[in-house]
Amino acid sequence: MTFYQKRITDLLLLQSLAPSTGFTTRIFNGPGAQMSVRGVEVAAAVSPVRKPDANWIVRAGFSLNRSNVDSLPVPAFNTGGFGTSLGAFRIEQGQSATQIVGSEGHVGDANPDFTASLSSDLNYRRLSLGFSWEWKHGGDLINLTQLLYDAFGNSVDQAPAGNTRISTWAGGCGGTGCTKIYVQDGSYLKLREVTVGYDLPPDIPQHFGMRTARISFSGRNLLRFTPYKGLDPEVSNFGNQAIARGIDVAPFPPNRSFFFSIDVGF
Amino acid sequence: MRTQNTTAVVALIVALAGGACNFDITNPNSPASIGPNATAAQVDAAAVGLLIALRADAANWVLKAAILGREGYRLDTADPRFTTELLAGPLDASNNAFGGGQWQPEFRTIRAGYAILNVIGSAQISDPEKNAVRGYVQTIQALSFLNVLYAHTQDSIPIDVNRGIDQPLAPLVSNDSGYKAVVAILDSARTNLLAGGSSFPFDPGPGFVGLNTPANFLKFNRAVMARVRAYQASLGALPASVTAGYGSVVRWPACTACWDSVLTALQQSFFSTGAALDFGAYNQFSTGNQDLPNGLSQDPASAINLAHPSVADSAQLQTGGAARDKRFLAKVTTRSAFSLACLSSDLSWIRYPTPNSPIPIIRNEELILLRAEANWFGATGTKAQAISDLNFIRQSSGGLDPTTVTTGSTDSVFVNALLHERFYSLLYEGGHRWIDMRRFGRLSQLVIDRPTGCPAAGIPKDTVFSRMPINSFEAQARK
Repeated sequence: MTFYQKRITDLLLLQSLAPSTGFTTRIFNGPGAQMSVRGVEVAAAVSPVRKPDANWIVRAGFSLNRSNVDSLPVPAFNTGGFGTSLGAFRIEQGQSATQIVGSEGHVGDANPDFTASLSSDLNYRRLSLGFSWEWKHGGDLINLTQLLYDAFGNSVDQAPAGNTRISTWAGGCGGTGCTKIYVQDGSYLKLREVTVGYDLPPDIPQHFGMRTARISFSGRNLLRFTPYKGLDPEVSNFGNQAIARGIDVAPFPPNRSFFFSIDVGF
Repeated sequence: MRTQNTTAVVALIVALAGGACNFDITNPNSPASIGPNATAAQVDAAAVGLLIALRADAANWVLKAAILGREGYRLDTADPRFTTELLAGPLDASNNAFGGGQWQPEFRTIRAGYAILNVIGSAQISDPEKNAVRGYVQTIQALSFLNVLYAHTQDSIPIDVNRGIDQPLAPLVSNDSGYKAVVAILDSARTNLLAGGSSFPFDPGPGFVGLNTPANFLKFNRAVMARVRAYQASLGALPASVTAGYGSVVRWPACTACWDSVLTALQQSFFSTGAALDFGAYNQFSTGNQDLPNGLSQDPASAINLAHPSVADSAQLQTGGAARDKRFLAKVTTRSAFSLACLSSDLSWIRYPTPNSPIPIIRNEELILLRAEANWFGATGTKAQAISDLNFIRQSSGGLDPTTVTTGSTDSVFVNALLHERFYSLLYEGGHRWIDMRRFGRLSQLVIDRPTGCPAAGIPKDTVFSRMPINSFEAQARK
């Protein structure tokens, strides 16, 4: 179990400048700029069965992380996204470093409330069975895929839900436009992996001149439970960035894959 | 032995510490930027680089202003903002490609210009060459300030931007003062070009054929001046009769001599009724390695940048025939009708047929129309000459019959006729329609395609914008 609190002072800032200076951004060592990150990480493993011919280990993990821009000696600035009407990330004093702002102001945060995982490995004689679950709670995505579907009448629920969403985006929130409608909860629970393996009895591989052989069958991303309306809550068009993560513009989603493998040892 | 070792260790520590203090590392991936005592090659690279900065925003402006001024649409299934934000609003000030545009690339060009001007005095070239470079740089800077002003009329903009990034930001000055500053920059450029010897120490490239010596570049400088003066005049000196009945117009302080200044500037420009109408200065594009293609070129059959249906509807017929205006035929062709978000058009732009097609900065045809305008309103001009200039364009460029406007027509009738010719002559070349309708107080005449919006696409009713908002990065930094 780990608790941590990290305070970063004199931050190296990538600041957006007034474009009239002729420059767009500068990297500088901001005196007085401070950001703090706090979090908890818990990991536990139990082994309910430990016998010569059977072994079972269950591991669980939990983590949460919070960031805060404590002080910023320069004006707040945007640092990712396609402009505030389509959701942008903004570094602002007193706010989380991963906050998302829209036309109407603060609309979300890409950082999850917490993440948790549970995995199990069971070995019984020659058989092995393993699985792992991952759970992310909270953490917003900017669902521009849905915006594009809605805008051109291609959503599954176009009439009336899609039409309502796009007109809320364009003119809602008192006329400023409502980006919040497309900044959506990216919580998920996924069955990340299941593996079944079997070690062949030694005489079979030895017959072929090998020492050991194992066959296994595994699958990834087998089950997913999410309220997110896009293709998948894990997408990010701009990769796994520190801040501008979770922008969803018709990306290629994570795939479900199956593996059949034979491992031999000489 | 021990002493020697100690000495070596101390020397090593000193060397490491000394090295660690210096964080100035040369960027091996780009040529050294221009600085004091610049060589001729560095001046050459910096001067040509300015044209690359200038053209960066050209295609964006042509397309965006065409949408704002209802010259056309972009029916893009991958981006709804061309059919929502630019037609119905609100304009998003945080995005350089949309509502927040015509700001960052322009000020970058201006900054690049000052990077040259600030050190040109110590460059290793002759004094006339230094003056020639100064005049050239200032003219390009004036064009960039103008791009900002076209999009931000009635807003205040920063002018005095030659300062370090740690200094306070340049104060905002009124739009009227902005135009006056541009006039001053162009005049200063003129003084420098006149003292600029017989040739530039660099080649401004194929976009400036015929304008690539200080003396000829000055003619380009004066052509830009003619346009600036006409814009100043139309917002300051326009008779009330011209705008009567077209809604309220924000007026500038009167500039009674501005129309006459247009005529003076034209006499010193490359204006010529004997030269090709296409003669002028261009932003050059190409598909060459590391070069920038013209993003407005498209396959007409599958084009999504389309002309507004009104472009075909209001085109007149050529003399004695059934064919439409030659200018229309040269810039627009038909495709199968394409509809999106309650908008529809079957007219593809063919103004820029290939990725190598240049985009005009200013050309002879515009100058002739500027002379028509200044002759009608200016004290030193004559209305007969104005009509003669209009007819010259109608006949030589459009293949049309002479205009029905006479010297006895009202100002308002003349302006309508002028705007018709300017519409077709300068169509899809740099936001002229939007700027013209605004400066003559006729924005209310622009077609509103979706007066009740497009419920199927969730779009509220369309509106005509008179200006773009100040870029939000600028606004945020000034808070």
